[in-house]
Amino acid sequence: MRDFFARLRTETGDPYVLGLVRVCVGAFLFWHALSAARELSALGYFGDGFYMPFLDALSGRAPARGVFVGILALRILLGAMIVVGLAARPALLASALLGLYVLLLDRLQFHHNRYTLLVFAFLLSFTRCDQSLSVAATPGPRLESPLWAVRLMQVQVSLVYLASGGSKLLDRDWREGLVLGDRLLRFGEQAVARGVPAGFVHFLQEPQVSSGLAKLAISTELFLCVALWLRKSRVFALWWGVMFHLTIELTSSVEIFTWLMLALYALFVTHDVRARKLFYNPRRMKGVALGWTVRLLDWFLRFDVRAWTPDEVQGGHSIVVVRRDGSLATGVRALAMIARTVPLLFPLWGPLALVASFTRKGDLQTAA
Amino acid sequence: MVDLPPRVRPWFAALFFGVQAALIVTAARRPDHAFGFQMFSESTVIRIRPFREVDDAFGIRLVPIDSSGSWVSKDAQGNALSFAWNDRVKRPELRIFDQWIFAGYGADAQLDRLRGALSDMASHLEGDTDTRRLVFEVDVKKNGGEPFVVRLESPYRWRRDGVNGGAP
Repeated sequence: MRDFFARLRTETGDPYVLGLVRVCVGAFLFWHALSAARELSALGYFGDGFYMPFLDALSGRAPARGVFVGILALRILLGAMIVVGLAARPALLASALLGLYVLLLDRLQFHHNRYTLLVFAFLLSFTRCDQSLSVAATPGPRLESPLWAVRLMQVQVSLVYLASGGSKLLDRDWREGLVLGDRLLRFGEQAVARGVPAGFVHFLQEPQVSSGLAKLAISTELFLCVALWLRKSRVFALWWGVMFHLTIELTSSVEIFTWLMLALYALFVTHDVRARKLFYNPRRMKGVALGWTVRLLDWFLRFDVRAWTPDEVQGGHSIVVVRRDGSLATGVRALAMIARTVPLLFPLWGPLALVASFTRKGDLQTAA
Repeated sequence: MVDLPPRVRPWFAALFFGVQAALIVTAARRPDHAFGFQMFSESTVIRIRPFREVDDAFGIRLVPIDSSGSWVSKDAQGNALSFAWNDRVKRPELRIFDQWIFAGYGADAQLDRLRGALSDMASHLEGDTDTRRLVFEVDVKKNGGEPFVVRLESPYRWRRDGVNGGAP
């Protein structure tokens, strides 16, 4: 703990990935503000009717309709500013505080995912998230930036899992699967409509299966809260977390919660850039395709992608990945390495790593 | 934006997580478990049956309000007055009557919000000398269990025995 607090003062890293997180959080804030505007248009101004402030001090103190419309317009503008990186950090702070003000005014508008988003927007405003993917970024190489607020955001991710998993663990109905079982019964049709096979949904609705799933869900949340911090388990935890959130997305309505948590997973990548190399054979269609795929989807800038002139040694491979430690990976191990570091392909990492583990020097270990 | 100086960061972290921890630990005390990150805490459905309690020549009785949430009452001169639940309560989850609906934040949160809405509505029935108070009978099915009924009542607007000043 003492070491953690000491590192808050001194630790630095490349802030590139924070720009990506900022773009996502900005887009979510923009979407939320837009949804609130749609709600205003559909339901009318909440202050004209019944609403419930969180604090007695705010009772009867809803702003005039015009002021509220102005706040909404400002939140939409701030969301756009955050996405493009224009005064992004003050915009994040202002957006978080305005959003929190509206939530405190009316708890009928409270949703866990909205509050979670505001908390992370607040913390993100203390990072150098404006140094990349930003119209205001200074040209030239990025400077190493303090990571203390990133560590706070990581702790907050763990806290979300701990609070969620812990409260379920303490609830007998949850532990026994009654809550999850009933939800699966009620929202089964929604899952089928989203493409989950009906037979599979019916299987999940079986009481014994839902009871097992409930225990798995609780274990998953508690596992994630710890495993994301351990170097050896981090990649698996991230992959398991991605699967967990995608499953929730398919079976429930959680607004942007799934995408927020997946975006926040980017905070757990090592804060360096192009520390790995990917060589591809320009004379092989497969090599070219993989090279360009990685160039296109390598949003974390993990790879320095280059074509090589095939020689007798390298001629047998379409791609070769050079890991951070200088070791080489080819074939399925190289594919696993790519899947492990390219966000859109990350769901494939689990099965690829499993297959790779049966090869010599498999990739199930988290060697960088 | 100015960065926090290094010596302040640990204090900021301690303060921030102190507040977070306090909010999480006390979340169970709030009916909606707000600020506690307790996602999917329940699977509850409710059905709201709305009534007006009147005290007239037939005595004290409950008059059902129709599922549209509107009713006709009387003022002191006996003139008809129209009211609609939707006039004050805008959120769909608080104005769907006589149908089972999902209570996203659980039974306690939904009942707390309905109680608040009842009080609010009852205090905005200007001119209505017919309605003593508003009453909901709420059927609740929690986590797939057996249904039970919760009765919610607004404060009395008036009572014939003189409490609250008698009929307005």
